[in-house]
Amino acid sequence: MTTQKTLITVCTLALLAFIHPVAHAANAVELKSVAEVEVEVVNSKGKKELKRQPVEKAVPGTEVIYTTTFKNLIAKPVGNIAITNPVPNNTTYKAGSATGANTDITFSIDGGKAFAAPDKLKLKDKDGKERSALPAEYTHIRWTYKGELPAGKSGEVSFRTVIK
Amino acid sequence: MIKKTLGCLLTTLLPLFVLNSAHAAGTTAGTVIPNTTTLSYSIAGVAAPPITSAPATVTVDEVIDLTLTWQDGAPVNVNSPDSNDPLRFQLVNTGNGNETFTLSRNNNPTTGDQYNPLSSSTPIYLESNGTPGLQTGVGGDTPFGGSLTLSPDGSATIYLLSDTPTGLPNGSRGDVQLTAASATPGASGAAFGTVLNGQGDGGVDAVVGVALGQAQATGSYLVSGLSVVVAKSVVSPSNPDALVPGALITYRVQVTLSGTGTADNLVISDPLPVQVSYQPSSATLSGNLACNPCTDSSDADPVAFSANTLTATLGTVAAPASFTLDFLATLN
Repeated sequence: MTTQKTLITVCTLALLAFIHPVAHAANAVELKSVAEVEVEVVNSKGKKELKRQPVEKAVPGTEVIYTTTFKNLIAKPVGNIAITNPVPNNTTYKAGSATGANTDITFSIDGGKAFAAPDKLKLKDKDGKERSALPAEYTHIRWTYKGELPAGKSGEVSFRTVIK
Repeated sequence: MIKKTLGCLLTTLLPLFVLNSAHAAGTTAGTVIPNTTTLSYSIAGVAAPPITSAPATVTVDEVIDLTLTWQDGAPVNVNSPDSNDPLRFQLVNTGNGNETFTLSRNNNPTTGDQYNPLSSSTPIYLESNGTPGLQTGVGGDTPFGGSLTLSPDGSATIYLLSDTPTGLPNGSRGDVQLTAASATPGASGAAFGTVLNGQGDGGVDAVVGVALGQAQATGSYLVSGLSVVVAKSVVSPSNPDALVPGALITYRVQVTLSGTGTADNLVISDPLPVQVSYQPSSATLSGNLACNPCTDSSDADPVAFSANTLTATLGTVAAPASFTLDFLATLN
């Protein structure tokens, strides 16, 4: 019963993936965000492996992987690319989960006003003592792409959260 | 135990999830979590309008979970026979949605006890009037009506009322088991992680949590049979039927506590009939609180005489215990 339902969800999303790119054709850059979960499946050799699948519904405690893809749709390179993603409501950022090839990753703990590397994010306790911010206190993540993205090329950044 | 269950879960292609223990309920069922990302860029050094992605949305499913615990801490003392003695339980909705539960009781859940309590005429009450403990009648707690609905992290105090059969020896234990079960179709007794399509709050899916949709808790009664028996007799003369006025009579009041338990504020009062007159300062008390002779005034010794009544104030007395109060009176 459960297996059937999950497979149907996968099929539906696969269809959507084919239709969706048209939506942002007017922009020079195509931008997509997908939410996925990892499930452990048994492969054809009888071994367990982690497989990602799209997720639309989940219970508290679920680890959700958000992946953002961006593609240069024009004939010229684009530069100064910065991707900013708030940590979604009712979720907690998973420490160390933000990745992105050829990017500098910084975080905000003040609702997206200021961004800095994790070791430079400081908070003051009630008694005025300074301490490092916890990953669970991050409110935003920013990926700053190094250099230009050539025509037709794409990039990908990702992070994980846990539903509170 | 949980690990083993997870093994089954994984092979059914369900997302990995660990139930949040810090906040039992977690994010409320039906909550929509959108994720949108924004990209800013420039072309040939000229900033272009930022782009925002379509949201990737996750809706929070309902986890059905609950805990049920017996609250009395020790067996509830009853007599044999006895009636309407409550056992107290607490049900907590540890899921993240509003959940309706049914309650049922089993008066014979174990073989380790000595008797089966009987369900009282109103077998289950819900605490509802804000006053701790069970109160029945007008302004009291509410007889259970078949189901109760709790919000996430909400709890209910439940009383099971039982009658005790007659003739049970002291020390007999009787157990009663309460079962609380999710009223969501298919939830109670289902495997961990079972997905019930569309059965959650607002039409989201419901997922069966670690309690497997139901919880049991067992409470106990103990026949403590504290009995206080008072017997009065004439010690002398041996033929009281042949008494003449002025004869001296020795009365004996025998107080016996048996079984287990404690009698509070135990006071023995013996109003004397008008046909006899108490002989001042004649009372003696033996047993745990002895005085010989005892004074007739209200003072340190337990015995006092006033208004033609002899009293022995024994206070808090744990069973077993016995007292003998002797005194003299003359026939008028």
